[in-house]
Amino acid sequence: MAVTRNRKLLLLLGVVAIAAVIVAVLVAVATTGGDDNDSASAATTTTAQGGTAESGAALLAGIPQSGITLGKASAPATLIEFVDPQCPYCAQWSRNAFPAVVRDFVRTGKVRLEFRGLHFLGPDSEKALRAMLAAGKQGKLFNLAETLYAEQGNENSGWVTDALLRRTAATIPGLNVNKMFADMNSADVDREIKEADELATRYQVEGTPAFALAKPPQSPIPLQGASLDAESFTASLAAALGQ
Amino acid sequence: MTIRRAVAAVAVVGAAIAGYLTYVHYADVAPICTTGGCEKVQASKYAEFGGIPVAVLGLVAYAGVFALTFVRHELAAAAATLVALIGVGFSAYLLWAQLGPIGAICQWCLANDVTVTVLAVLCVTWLLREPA
Repeated sequence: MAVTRNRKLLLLLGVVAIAAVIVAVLVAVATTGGDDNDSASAATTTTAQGGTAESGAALLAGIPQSGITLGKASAPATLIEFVDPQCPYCAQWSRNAFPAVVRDFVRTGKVRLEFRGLHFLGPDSEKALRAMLAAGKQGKLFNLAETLYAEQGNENSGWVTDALLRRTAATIPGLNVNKMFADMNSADVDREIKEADELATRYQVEGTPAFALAKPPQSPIPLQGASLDAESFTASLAAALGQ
Repeated sequence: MTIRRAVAAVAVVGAAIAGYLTYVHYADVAPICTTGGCEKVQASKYAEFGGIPVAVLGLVAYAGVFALTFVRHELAAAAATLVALIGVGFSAYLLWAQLGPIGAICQWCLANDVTVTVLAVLCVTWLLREPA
């Protein structure tokens, strides 16, 4: 009887030891062998361009967002951006110039950004745009826009899937993903899309990204000749602001 | 109820949880969640292992243990115990990930943690009781 009991305990110890080794290997593989594009943390979406939702959040942290605007309502000027979520040059602007604009002009209270999303490139544009505007209902439009630009796929390839929206939106702290999906087809989002289309027509926007600077009481003026790299764009913006 | 039937019953519970999370993953729907962190956890890199959803791995593991309960042999109990203990260990790692890097708790993962722990205890009991 004692022999059987000892043999059982030895067998159990053997099983525990094997399980411990296998778990150690699994954890080691899971910790070190993950996707290179997702190595920082679970709450971070690393983008094709090397940016992250986390760094995007850091860039925007503490700056007021309301609907389609980013920055203080008291800012003396408003930079209106016309963009299409599928437009590669918009992604380029987002990657290169946007951080500098936010850091030097928006955070300092000199400029407020106004997002005017267009969807002339196709159905993927409209779906992404609706998600961005819906995120705007929760004060997260610019967070989602930056994250989606970084995930931009081939034009109208169907890259804006529910899965992509859900995955990217889930990385943005404070964004209720289910509410975002519910708001995507709301009357408010329809109205914002219509308003952007009308504004683009009024400003004769022929391509994206396009920019206009509003300095009340003056009428908005197109921001001409602005290159998409940070240095040139901020120089053009500073000049238009009269700095 | 024999110990094997108890193991089988708990394995079914675990398979149901893992099955639901597998469905959520592939149907691309939000999991029912009262803790508010399920979606964040499911969207994290920890939700997959080697490109396979961990829910699928859990489902396979629970199904394997369930199948083993139909075999009255010491080695079947040992194999079930091995699978359950690996499940406990890996679930502990995932719990650490939720409390640490992810910063969100998924109620389904917690339910699985409890289930796999109970399963491991039952499997060890089965192993100790099963005649050679």
